[in-house]
Amino acid sequence: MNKNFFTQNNIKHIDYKDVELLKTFLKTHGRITQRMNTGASAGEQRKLATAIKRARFMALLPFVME
Amino acid sequence: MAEDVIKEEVAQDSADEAETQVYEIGFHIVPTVEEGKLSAEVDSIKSLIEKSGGTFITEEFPKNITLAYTIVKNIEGKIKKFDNAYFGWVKFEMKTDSIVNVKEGLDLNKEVLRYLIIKTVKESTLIPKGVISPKPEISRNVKPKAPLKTTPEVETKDKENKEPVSEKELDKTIEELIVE
Repeated sequence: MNKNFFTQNNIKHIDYKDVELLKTFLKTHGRITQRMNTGASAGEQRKLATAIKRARFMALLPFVME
Repeated sequence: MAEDVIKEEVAQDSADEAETQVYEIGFHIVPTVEEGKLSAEVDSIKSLIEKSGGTFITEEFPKNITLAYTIVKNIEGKIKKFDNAYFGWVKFEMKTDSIVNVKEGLDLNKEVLRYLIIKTVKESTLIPKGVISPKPEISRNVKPKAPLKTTPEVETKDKENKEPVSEKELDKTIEELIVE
C-alpha cells in the first residue's frame, strides 16, 4: 500500500501558496504525479490538482519544466 | 401566526448566513512600482474590499518574487513582459453578491499584474514549516520481483535432510567423526 501523505500529516486543505510542498508532487517535467504514486484519496488528489493549477496560473509553479 | 413569523425569521437568518463566504485574493503587483509605494497599492485593494462590505481575516504584505514563467500583459496598448512581481494576498469575509464589485475594481487597477479570487476557509490553510518533513516520500509503484524458483534438486535435498534419523545411526556417525 502507498502511504497517504495528507492523512498521515492531518492535512485537510491544500493551499496553492505552499509551493515547496506542491513541488514534491510534480514530475520532472512539471506534470502532476498520479494518484497511484501520491497515495492520496480521490478527493485529496482533486484538491492537490486544483492547488497546483492555481499555483501555475499565478506563476508560482511552471506549466512545463525543462 | 406566531409560528409562521418565527419560521420566516429563521429562513431569513439562514439566508443571511448562506450569503457570506470567506474569500482570498492573491495578487501580483507590477515590479515597476517602488517599494515605498507598495503599501499605497495594498491599501487601494483593501479599500476596494472594505467598500464592498468585506471584513478582513488575515493578510500578507507583498514580497518581490521571481515568477515561474514570463507574464505578458497589455498595458495601455503596449505589450510588456514581467519576470518578477510583488506577490501578496488578503483573506476576508464578504457577501457573495459583492465579490463581483471587487473583481471589477481589480480589473481596472493597472498596477495589478494578475490576481486570483478563491473561496476558502477562515482557519489558516498554510502548513507551518517544520511540522512536516520537507520532502514527503512519494512511493513509486515498483512491481515486486517474482520469487526465485528453487531448483528441484535443492528441494529433494531438503526433503532428505528432514527424514527422521534413528538414534543408533546418529551414534554411529558421531563415533565415526570422533575416530577421524
